[in-house]
Order: sequence, then structure tokens, then C-alpha cells
Amino acid sequence: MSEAYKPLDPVSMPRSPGVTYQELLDLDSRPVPEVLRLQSPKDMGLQQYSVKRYTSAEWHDREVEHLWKKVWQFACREEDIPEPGDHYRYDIAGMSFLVLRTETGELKAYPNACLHRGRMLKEFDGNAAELRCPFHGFCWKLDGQLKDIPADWDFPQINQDDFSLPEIPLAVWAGFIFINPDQNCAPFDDFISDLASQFERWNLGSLYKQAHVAKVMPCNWKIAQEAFCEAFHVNATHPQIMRSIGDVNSQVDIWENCARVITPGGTHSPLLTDVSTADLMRSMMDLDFDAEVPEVPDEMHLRQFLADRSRENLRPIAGDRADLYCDAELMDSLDYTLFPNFHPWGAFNGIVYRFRPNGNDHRSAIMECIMLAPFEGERPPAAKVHWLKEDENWSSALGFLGKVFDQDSFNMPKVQMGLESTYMNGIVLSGYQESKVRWLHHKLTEWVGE
Amino acid sequence: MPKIKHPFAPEFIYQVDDDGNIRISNGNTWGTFTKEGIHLSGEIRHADPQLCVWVANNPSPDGQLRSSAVTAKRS
Repeated sequence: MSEAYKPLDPVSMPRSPGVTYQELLDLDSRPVPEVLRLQSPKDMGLQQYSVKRYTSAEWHDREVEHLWKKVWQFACREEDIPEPGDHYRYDIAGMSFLVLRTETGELKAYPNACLHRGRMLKEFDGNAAELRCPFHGFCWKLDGQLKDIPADWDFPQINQDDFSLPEIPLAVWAGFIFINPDQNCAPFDDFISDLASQFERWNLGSLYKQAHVAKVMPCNWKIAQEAFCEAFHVNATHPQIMRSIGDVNSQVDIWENCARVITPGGTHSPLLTDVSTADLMRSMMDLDFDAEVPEVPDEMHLRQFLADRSRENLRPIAGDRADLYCDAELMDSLDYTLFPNFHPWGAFNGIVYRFRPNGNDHRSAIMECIMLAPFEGERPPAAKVHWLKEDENWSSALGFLGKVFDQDSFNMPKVQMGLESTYMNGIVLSGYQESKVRWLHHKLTEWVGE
Repeated sequence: MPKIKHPFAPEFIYQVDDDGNIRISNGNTWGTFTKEGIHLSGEIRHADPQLCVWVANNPSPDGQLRSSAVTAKRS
């Protein structure tokens, strides 16, 4: 653990008024898994982080050299390439990689570049029996071995036994394929261990990719990402859900390589008083302020009532697995982040975010949301990426969740413009509620420098 | 049309009007705004832009990419 992360005592540390997340867990109608009982608050100081991290092309270039070319990063799902010859193009910060399945079912990743004149081998995801360059026809087998050089008499300098595509490290966790452009990188198992140990209960590998939506956002990738790393913004950005989520009493936990924010649902924001049960339910269900709502039995806690409804909604697609989850797992937002940009939600939600630079434009980002879902019987085919156009809302594809994204998206270009304009040297972060953002910047400092 | 009370100022009701703009009223006065919260007309001259964004955003069930995406959609 980095020396920058000083443990805090969860009992005595400064925190929001109102019920704590752990106190809410005490009310759960079912046994609460140990992973939700973990608490790992950290004091990481109160320093500012330079605005240049968002506004400077030079900082972006350093990120490319010291982060994106060096770090383990999520490329695609195993189910995106189920058959031999299936290949997936993964781009990051102006670089392109091919992830594919060989004839034997093995997964491999290569730089997406012909070894002759450098042309990309594949522009699109698809299936191929070989990797033949569309420029001059140099060709490799799926396992990376050289297959054919047209007019090979003219390339006496090439040793055909030593002209394979360079493999880059690849690893799989819970159906997610990670690659690392650095052939001398640290082991993946060490990188993923914090996250993997906490997701043992929520086997994301058993889910299938039901939807995958992507959009280019007009801001630095960290502005987009950080919009999803704290719940403090809810009072201003998502005021309509304050009646049904405990925004500022979210629990924030920091480990070495991952962090999480748990925001309770079915409880109102401590920033509001006198929220009726009916108003809470209307907020949660996105109903008009005067809509009728179901009666909650007197003896039942509201979170249990709402969790029971979620279980019944889940049952048709998840069967008896719906009964495995406690109320908290059905009600709360368990938003994990694996450094630098991979965001799987815990429990049933099946939501996964990814944020990355859009090419080498440091003022443009690719934001993606993947929805994983349970299934019965044969695994359904994985959804293809659905790219939203500039004028298309997230809600056009992702409904209620997309409506929330649209409010976050409404801020993003204004944050970029504000950071380009500010007279502040750095961004100001809170000590606890925004400690996941602080953790991300600590990690960036470790990898990229100040 | 969707209608919602602002959580910090519940006397103000936000709803979409027949022209697709946002009408805010408190019983005595009113104002209309674009879906980004820009004032168009009326005595009430300031809106919470994020609540305007929310109220104006009513996705069609067509084109939704997951089965549960519109389960919370208003009837």
C-alpha cells in the first residue's frame, strides 16, 4: 500500500450527518456479505492537482508514454470473440491493437500493424482465417506466425522463421480481456488481486453482454471518468434522485489498485429533511410528484420492500439466483474503479463503465457503458457497440440510467471550458467524499508524474 | 406530461409544456425555459438547468438496448 494512503478510523473520522452505510446494512433482511462490511477509508491529504492534467497536450503525451503504453487495460469481453478467427480492434490514445481467438481457441493480442510498411491489419471487428495486410498482402496465421510474403525473393533480409507478429501480454478476468502494451509489464494477477478478491461473490463472467453503448464526449477522459467517481455531485447534477439515495453518506473505500463508492438507495439524502416514503418511492421510480405508489407494510423497512420488488423483477431472468442477494446488493450503487479506467459495478447491476482518450485529442474522450445480464441456457450473443451520435442522448439507448448520464454529460464540456478558463492552478477536492478522485490522481502521479 | 417538484424548493413544479419547453410554476407565478434551462418567458426567470434536462428527457421505448432499460419509465 502506498505511503500516501493513511488509514482512517471509520468510527471517528469526519463524516456526513445521517445514517452511515454500515448502519443501513444492519437493517438488511438477509445476511450481508463480508465484502460489503469492508471499510477502507484513507486520508490522502488535501493537495490540489494541476489543471494541466486536463488541459495540456503535453500532459496527455506523458500519459500516453507512461500510462497507456504501460498499464493493464480492459480491451474487450471474451464473448466478443467467441469463435476461432474472431478479432476485436481495441484503440487507445492513437494506438491500435488486435485481440483475437486462434484456431485452438487461445486468445492473443498483437499491435494492429503490418510488419512490412505498418498498415493496420484490421480496421473492423470481424472474423478472418488469416491476417493478410490489405496494402501489399503480407500475411500471418492467427497464432502470429508468418504465413506468406508475396514476392519473398525481394526480401532477402527477412528471416521468415523470425518474422512473427509481436505478442503483447493478455489476461482474462471474469470474462473481461485485459491487455498490456508493455511486453515487460508486471504480472496481471498482482494488478487485479484487490478487485478480484472482492468480486468473487459477483461472478461477472457468468453474465452476458446485453448492451454496449459508446459516445465521444467533448472533454478530457478524466473529466468524464471523475463524474462517476463520487456521489457528492448528486445534489446539483441529479437533484431529482436526492429523495431516494443517500448521496453524501456514501461510503468510500480505497485500496492500492482499486477503490469504490457505495451509495445507498431507498434512503433519502441527508441534505433533505421531511422526505415522505411516498416521495422517496416516486423519486426512485421516476414518477410524477402526485403519482400513486404502492403501500409499504408497517412492519417492513422500505429498503426491504423495494429490494423484494427488485428480486421479483429479477426472478424471470435470474431464477433462484434472485434470492442470493441481500437487500443492499439490490438497492445500492456499488461503483468500483480499477486503475486507470475500468469501472465494474458490484452485485447484480451488471453495469460497467470505461473512459479513455479519443485518439490523441486531450479534449475528447470515449465514454462507454456495458450492461451485463444473467441468462438461462445457452449464452446469448454479445451485443455489438452502439455508437451514439453527437446529438443523441444516452437515454435513447439506456432509458432511466441514460437519463442520469445525460445530466452528467451536460456538465462535461462546461467543466472542460471552465478548466481552460480558471485562474486556479489546481482542482480542489474534498477529503473523504471525493477521495476516489484523489486516489485516481495519486495513482496518476505515480505513473505519469506531477 | 412529466412533472416534478424541486427537492430544495418544492413549491416550484417543473413540467414539459405543449411546445416541449419547461414550464416552472409555484402556484402564483410561472416561467418557461428551454430544455437546457434558458429563460424564454414569464415572471420566473431562473431555473435549475439540470432539472430542466431531466424533465425534458423522455426517451422512446423504441431503440432501447436492454430489456430493463425502460421499466422505470413513467406510464
